[in-house]
Amino acid sequence: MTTPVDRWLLDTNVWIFGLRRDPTLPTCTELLDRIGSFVVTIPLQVLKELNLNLTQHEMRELYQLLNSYPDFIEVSWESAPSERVRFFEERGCRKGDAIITAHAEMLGIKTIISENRQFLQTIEGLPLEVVNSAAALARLPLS
Amino acid sequence: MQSIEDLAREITALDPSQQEALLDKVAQLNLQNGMHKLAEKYRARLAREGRLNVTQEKVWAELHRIREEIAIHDYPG
Repeated sequence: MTTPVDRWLLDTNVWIFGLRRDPTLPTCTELLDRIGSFVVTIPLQVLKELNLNLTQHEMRELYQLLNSYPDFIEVSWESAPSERVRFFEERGCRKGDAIITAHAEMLGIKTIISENRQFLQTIEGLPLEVVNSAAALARLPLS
Repeated sequence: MQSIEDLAREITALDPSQQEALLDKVAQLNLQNGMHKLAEKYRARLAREGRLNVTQEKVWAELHRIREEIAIHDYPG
């Protein structure tokens, strides 16, 4: 297969607003539709959060998709190192956001896609960026 | 509509790089269809539970609650 250019971590809110087809955040839906033109990584924290938002049956369906397209979607079952979680907390991230950031760092991901305004503002000066779904879409080639 | 046989012949006549791009696109569209089906089931369930049209603020509040709950459980202190 042709290698997609970027590996992005989609925050849980992008998955949820995208699956809800939320009309106020259509770019989340569009981004889910464009998986494959970039590679998505799903870290443990996001998996756990999706697990609490979706039913067992819906999760099974999601896992089937994840397992069917390993070239497009990577799942990481590893925990983020606690010292790095603390590091990002000390730099202004809430604990949950610090875990996501530490996951991204551990997996060598440079870009987190999130609609969380606070998250978008707290990562300044760190070696990774948080952008919203509209900005992420603008980076993709026209389909 | 073309038969599978004709379609396969047409595809094998393509350059390897075009074949690769085509197969990639097919996989992407299949994934997209799968996501659409999942989204429809999820939306139908939320509608049944009367939660499909809740405000964005309510969805955010639930997302924040779940995030912090898991975070505190997995990384206490």
